[in-house]
Amino acid sequence: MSYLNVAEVETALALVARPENADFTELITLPHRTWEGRTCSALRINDGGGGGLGVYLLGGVHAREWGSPDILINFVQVLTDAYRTSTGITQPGVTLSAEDVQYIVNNLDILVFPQANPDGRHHSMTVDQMWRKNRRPADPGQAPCRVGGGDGPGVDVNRNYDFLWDFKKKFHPQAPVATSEDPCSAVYHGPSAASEPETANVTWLLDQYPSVSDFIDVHSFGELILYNWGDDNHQTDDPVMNFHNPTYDDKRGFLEGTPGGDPTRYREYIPEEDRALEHALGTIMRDAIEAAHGRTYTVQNAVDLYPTSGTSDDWAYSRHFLDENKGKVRGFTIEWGPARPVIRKSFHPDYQDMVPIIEEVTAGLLAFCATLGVPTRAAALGVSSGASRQTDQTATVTG
Amino acid sequence: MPTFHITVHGADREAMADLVRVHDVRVLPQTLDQEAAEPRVDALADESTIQRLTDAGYRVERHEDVDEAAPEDLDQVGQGNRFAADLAAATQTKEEGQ
Repeated sequence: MSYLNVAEVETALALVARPENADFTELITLPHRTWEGRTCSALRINDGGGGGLGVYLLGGVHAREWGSPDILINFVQVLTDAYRTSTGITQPGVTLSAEDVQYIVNNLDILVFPQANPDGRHHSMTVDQMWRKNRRPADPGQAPCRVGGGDGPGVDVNRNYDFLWDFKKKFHPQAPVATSEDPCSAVYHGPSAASEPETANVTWLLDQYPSVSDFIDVHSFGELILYNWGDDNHQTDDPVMNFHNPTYDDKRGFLEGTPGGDPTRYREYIPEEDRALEHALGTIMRDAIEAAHGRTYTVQNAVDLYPTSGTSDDWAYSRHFLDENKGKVRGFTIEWGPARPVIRKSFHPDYQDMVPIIEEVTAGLLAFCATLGVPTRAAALGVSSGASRQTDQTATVTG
Repeated sequence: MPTFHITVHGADREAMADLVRVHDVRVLPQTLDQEAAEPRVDALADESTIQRLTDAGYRVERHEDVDEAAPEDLDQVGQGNRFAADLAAATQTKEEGQ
């Protein structure tokens, strides 16, 4: 038992899309080759034509977080095996009937992109175990970076998305934003928004499937389930106070709890129904995770003392505010696994310790999909299931 | 110069914020405990950064050298391709059936 290497992740994904699963799976080749020339793949699972709700699962963005692709490969194996054989799923943390599984695959567009940064993963698994970024080389004339311990040139893909990317302009100058303009920094945001092929692959896939309603980026560590926003505390009352209003460009990033109060009083807007639903969906994942092996993850807004910019979950949710033709995509990040005394073991535990984490996060993701795909579960939460949303949309068009 | 896993203890929340905005330290935000009597966060830092933080009044606990080779971790990574034969067989079965 050991972590999947880079080639194995791609092959395992192709194996799930093998001919006997061809009726409900599709292997998607992403259009942008990585800096080291690798081609990435994603998997679509659907047997209902799509058009309802969709869940986009992303992993392998940060190189040293070895377990994320393994989690997502396990997820697709479990789900597709059950659907093909018309059986249910019984595993730690979650029990789904055969009918539930049919609902999930028939009603949801499920997109799984398990290994977004294969170059970085390979580097972490062969050279520098603490490597986080992609493998963008240093630009000509750039001062050399120290190398080792995770240091070196490259871009932090999860600071490169087009959401408040220009943090020097968008945040208060004294905000402790966990992002950097230094190409040698572990959180370097890149030369421009969405400059990296790895980022472009993630965004391309979402653009191709407007059915996606929920986006979950799988990371380690901390046992956290995070939801929008990560740039500042949220508020639900003032839609004008938002990330795309330049009036607030130098006011973001001071948080509640600042001694003497937040001098800017900026809060990021999220409609109350979105906030409540994101928290409820996060809680469903948390409960399934806890039921698996007793680990209690914390469900919370993504922001902490160190606000972020250019992250995937906020970018996914921000799109529909900027373009009314884009559907709403709720954004989540899972930070699996606990902190451990030796830090590299926090990012990639010994595999025997990773196995229960794979099971618990798989349980959380299955519970999440069941909530959106199974009509009775969706109704219990007050959301349209994939099937009913599809019906609603059809009625709107024809009516 | 090696890189160390450290835990940085500061006087208050503002000292924790200064780790990023003033000292440009590679903090690990998920380890932040700002409710403790002495707030703390884990980080990665080299010798000079540790000295700079100590001079600035932080208390720094030094843990492992993250540059040290950890061959036991590399043993946790799969070798070869454990799915290649299954994929070839699945594809061949399909071709033979056509």
